[in-house]
Amino acid sequence: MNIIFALAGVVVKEMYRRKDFYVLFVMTALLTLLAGSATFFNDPKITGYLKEICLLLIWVATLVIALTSAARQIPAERESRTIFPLLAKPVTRWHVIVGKFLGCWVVAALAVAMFYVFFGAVVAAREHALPVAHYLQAAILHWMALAVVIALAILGSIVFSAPSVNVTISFIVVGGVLTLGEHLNKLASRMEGLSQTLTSIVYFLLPHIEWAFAYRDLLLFNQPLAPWSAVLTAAVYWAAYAAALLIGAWLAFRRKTLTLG
Amino acid sequence: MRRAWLILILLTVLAFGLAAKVQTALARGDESGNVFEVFFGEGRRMFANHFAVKADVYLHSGMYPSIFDQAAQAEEREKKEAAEHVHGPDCDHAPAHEVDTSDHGVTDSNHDEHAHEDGHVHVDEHVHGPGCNHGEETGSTSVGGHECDTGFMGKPRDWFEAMGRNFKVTQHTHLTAGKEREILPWLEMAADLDPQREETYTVTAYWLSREMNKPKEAEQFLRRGLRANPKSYEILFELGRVYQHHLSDPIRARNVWHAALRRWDEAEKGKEEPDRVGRNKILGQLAQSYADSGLYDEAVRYFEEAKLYSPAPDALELKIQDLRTKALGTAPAAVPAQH
Repeated sequence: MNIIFALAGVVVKEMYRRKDFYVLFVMTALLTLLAGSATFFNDPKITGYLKEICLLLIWVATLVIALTSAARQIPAERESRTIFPLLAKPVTRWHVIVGKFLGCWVVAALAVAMFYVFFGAVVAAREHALPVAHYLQAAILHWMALAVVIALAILGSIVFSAPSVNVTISFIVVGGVLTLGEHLNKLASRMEGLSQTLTSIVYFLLPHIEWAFAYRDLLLFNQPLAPWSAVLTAAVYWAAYAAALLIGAWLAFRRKTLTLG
Repeated sequence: MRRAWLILILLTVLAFGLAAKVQTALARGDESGNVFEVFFGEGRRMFANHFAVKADVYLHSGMYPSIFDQAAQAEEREKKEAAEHVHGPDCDHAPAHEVDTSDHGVTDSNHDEHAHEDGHVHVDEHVHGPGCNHGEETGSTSVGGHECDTGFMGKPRDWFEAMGRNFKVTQHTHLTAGKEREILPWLEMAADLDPQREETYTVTAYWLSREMNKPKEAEQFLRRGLRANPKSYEILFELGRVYQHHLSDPIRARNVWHAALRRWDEAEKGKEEPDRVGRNKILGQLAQSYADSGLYDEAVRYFEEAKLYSPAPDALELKIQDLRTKALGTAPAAVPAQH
């Protein structure tokens, strides 16, 4: 376990040195504040649009951080050939996969926490309300959904030839799940034959991380909290999904021949 | 070193070239007052409807059918109609619109054009506003004549769908108590993106004047709409309503409605199927305004014309009789015409 933590620590330190997060955070903050400076019909109490823009930016920024950081971990090690001394130590390929995942996931946690603190501050300034429990639920769901995204990108980093390919495909898959995932069963119910079966299979196989994305509406429209049991169930489901993807990544990585050339 | 200087010169030239280009474009944007036009050109109109629908989503606190739900609903409706309805000589497809002449106070509602015969169904084009009769909604699905279709969700088809509903808005409520203001940014963006979309101005003015007590802002927004759509009788009609019911200026309201009638003539008169509902609305409000000011002869004149466009001329005839009686009672003290 210490090996995994050590590997994860290296990833966190690397992300700490890189500028990705800072740039995205500053951009999100600037765009939100710019949107917040607009007034509509001399009414300073309007906040819905600001919350919507800010949450969308948070999702985009965290997805970029999660995907790009996870996608480059193993290819970077291979490219710089540091993977060989790493594996020469008492470090297995499973350790590498889990350590990299854990590091990226911790970074995602820090990013999610920072973004939601910022979001809470913006909303508190405008609405004079601080629904901490809502933000906690949103952040937990967001973070757990990112576990699936990171695991997917790590699997992709082993399967695909280049990080750019991996990031592009992962973005398409994640974007598709977030926007269309919940509707596939409705589409399937209106189809017939093979297309219905295939659509249904895709629907049941997809990781339904759109639940976390949909939680934005509860924040936007000041709705009651989601049941904590549902939050826990969703977290367990996504954890299981991420674990399955990591096992898949490990199986692919185990059979991968690492060459010096 | 020399290459560095060359690159620097190249970048400077590029910067000046780009600045000249952008400045011209931005200057054009200032003239039209619309930055979206500069960046998106005519393509911006595509997004206008999206923002108008977004306003409706906000009004329903996020509980809104997706395009997939709408498609499924439309399919079901078609199937149901095909199964139940048989066309024939007994078909009664008369329009559901009736002129509303009795309701002319602050809560006036001559808005039946959206009162769908089969209840309120959300479609892309629908945005709540003058066309909706919201009555006294407090979150139920059918109160005060406004029926919102909340049955689009149905029962969850599987475990995933059931789980997902824990994180979605599943209770149908409308924004009330001043929170309707949340729809305004989306409507303003819709107007920015497509200044020729008349409905955006009338809907926004409805919410500003009636629900948010901001008649001045409503007037300004309608005037902006009028600048973009100088031939719009719908915007003039709504502007007249703001003057009549919210700014207590009936003379100006009637002047605006007269202008609306002229615009209607220009736009609709020669058409095979003119907008009868639009003319009926203007005439109804104009006549009622005259009646309220004690100008019964003028009121009778416009009610008489409204009879030609109203699907309920008998109700108007009763109104006319009533006004004629009143006119006889006040005949000695005739009021001079004010328009």
